[in-house]
Amino acid sequence: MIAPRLAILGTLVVAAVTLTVSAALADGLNEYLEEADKAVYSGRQVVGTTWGGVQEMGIVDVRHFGGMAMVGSGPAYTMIGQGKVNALDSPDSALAYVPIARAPVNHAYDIAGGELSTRFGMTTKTIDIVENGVVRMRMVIDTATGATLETEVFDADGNRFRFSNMVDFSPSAAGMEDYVDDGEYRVMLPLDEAGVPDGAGRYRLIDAYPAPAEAEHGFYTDGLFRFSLFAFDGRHDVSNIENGHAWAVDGFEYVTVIKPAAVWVLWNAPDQTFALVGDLPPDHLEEVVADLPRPGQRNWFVRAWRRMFG
Amino acid sequence: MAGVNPLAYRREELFSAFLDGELTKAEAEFVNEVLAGDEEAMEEFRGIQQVRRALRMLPDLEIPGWLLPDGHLGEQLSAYLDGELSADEQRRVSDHVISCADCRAELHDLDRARIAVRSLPGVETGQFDQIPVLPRSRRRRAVAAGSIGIAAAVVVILGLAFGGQQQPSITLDDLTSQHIARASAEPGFAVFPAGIEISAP
Amino acid sequence: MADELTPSWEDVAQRYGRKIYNFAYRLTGNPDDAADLVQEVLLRVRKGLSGYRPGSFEGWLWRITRNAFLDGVRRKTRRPETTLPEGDHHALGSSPSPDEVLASVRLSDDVQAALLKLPYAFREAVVLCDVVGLTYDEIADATDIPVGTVRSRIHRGRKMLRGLLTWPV
Repeated sequence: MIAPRLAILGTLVVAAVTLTVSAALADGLNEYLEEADKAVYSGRQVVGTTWGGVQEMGIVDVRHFGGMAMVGSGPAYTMIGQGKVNALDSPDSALAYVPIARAPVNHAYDIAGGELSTRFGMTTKTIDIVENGVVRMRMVIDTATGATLETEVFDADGNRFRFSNMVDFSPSAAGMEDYVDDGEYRVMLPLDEAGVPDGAGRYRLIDAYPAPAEAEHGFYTDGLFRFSLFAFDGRHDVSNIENGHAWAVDGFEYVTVIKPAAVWVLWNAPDQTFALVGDLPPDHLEEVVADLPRPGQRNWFVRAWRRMFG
Repeated sequence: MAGVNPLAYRREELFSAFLDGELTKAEAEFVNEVLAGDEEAMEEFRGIQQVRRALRMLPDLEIPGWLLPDGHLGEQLSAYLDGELSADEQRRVSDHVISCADCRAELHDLDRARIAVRSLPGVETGQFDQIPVLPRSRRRRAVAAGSIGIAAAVVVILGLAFGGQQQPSITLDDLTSQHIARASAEPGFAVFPAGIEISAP
Repeated sequence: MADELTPSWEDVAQRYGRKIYNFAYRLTGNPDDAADLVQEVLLRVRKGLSGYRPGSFEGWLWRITRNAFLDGVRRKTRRPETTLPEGDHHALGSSPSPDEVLASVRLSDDVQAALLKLPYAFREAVVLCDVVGLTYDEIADATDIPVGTVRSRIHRGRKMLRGLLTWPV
């Protein structure tokens, strides 16, 4: 008796949405990004964000090795990388995200530039990441290690929105090679179904996870910038948040908190509270909030998002 | 999967659990009733049964022999050299190594690059010219018991809390950690500086 | 070190090694990853045994196994999870061979390939149930999720597999 013959139907699309992927250019951008992740180096990095007359800056020690970064100041550090975060002085904080593998995403970014120059006596290459002819991000890369020495993010008018700068640099990991990860991680697996919107502006929802206070955490990217959206049921008062600034868009009021490396946007929609954090520039932020429930709006906006397979 | 009848879906779940013997008696009776009358349900049931059977028919693979302890020391040699065995185990290893040429050979096959030399307790150092020790990468694979030895100091993460009297307080730094962790799974996380702020003490 | 209640790590290796290997193999489709996992689990078992208090040994073991697996997944450089198992890569969709043995090999390869296309949460639930043979309660204990979710994931995993595999009429 012959056992039933099985065959596999078609190709499985893992991502919930298909995007226009510019194949050759997608490789270029991702190549640079992945090279940067593999680089071995250490040093001190200054980071700053300027928005609406407010500037926030910070300085951190960074050690980078094995796809992980050890970031901190003084003797206490946080380990970041490969879906994990572990603040070494508070072991309960260790989280590990295990997203499902998928093809790289690229909204529409091109790579330009490539001029050589020097930093710290090392040969560096300057790369522009361009969208519709406008430079959105510039990176200065050490050709020897692949490390990113400088970055700049520009708003739609070409003003510098964020920058980072290695003020000390060494092409070695300063002892990080000895680090053994014995953290007890809380593993975060993607939710099977998400209650957060599957897109906003050019950004697509990649996956969603549980978050504190029964919120949902959606992770979005356009291939270069990325943000997280935390959606809470009910009304949480965000108006008195420390260092909050009012931000008005299209007559709607949001609260923003500007950090050296990221921006928070918080607001109350009817029956929901949103907290968004990311590295995207202000014009992208405007597009994103336009596609999310507006502050004070009555219409309910929850789209169920399911992974489709086959 | 749009337009799926939630009731039917719940019912299908029961079929799966029924096959696994995970239903209560009442639930199992319910399933029998459903299947008795409904051709479509029976079709669905058979489909799940087929998949389950196919999965359970997957061959039980042989584990490669070298993974199993067979009297020789294998992994224990590495753990021994890393000082990760208890005193009893250490003695067992050294007793074995003295008399076993194969395991001595394996010791010599290990990387000799390390600077420090360990001596086997109960064995005269002269018996081995030089004890090779493990390369770093092997060590990194092990789950270490020791701490990294970094003194506790404060990385100040600006704790901005929102909430209210009726609502639990939610701090932005908890949410920040979640964002950073997830973002670090994307290519290029090293390009974007971490969203952790340091402020001067 | 071993007493009546606490097994020695050699006992664990002999008794559970094969199951752990199969668990990892079915989850990854990759014999090297599976071997790595067995070694890692046995290492953690050895380290953990001194602190182990008699209770549900299997529960404890499968928690370790699952965590070790997830740590291993995170440690590897990013690459697509759809790795076909090594060995005969025959053309899918070709006509069945009259040889029963060959047919069953093809069957298992197809099931394995389909398994790898499931989202991790579903694949893990299905493997723990149908390959390792744990009960829903044991799976809930090992994966730290409620039994209801276990049941749902197993069902959805199987349903998805059914969609991926075609059966001759």
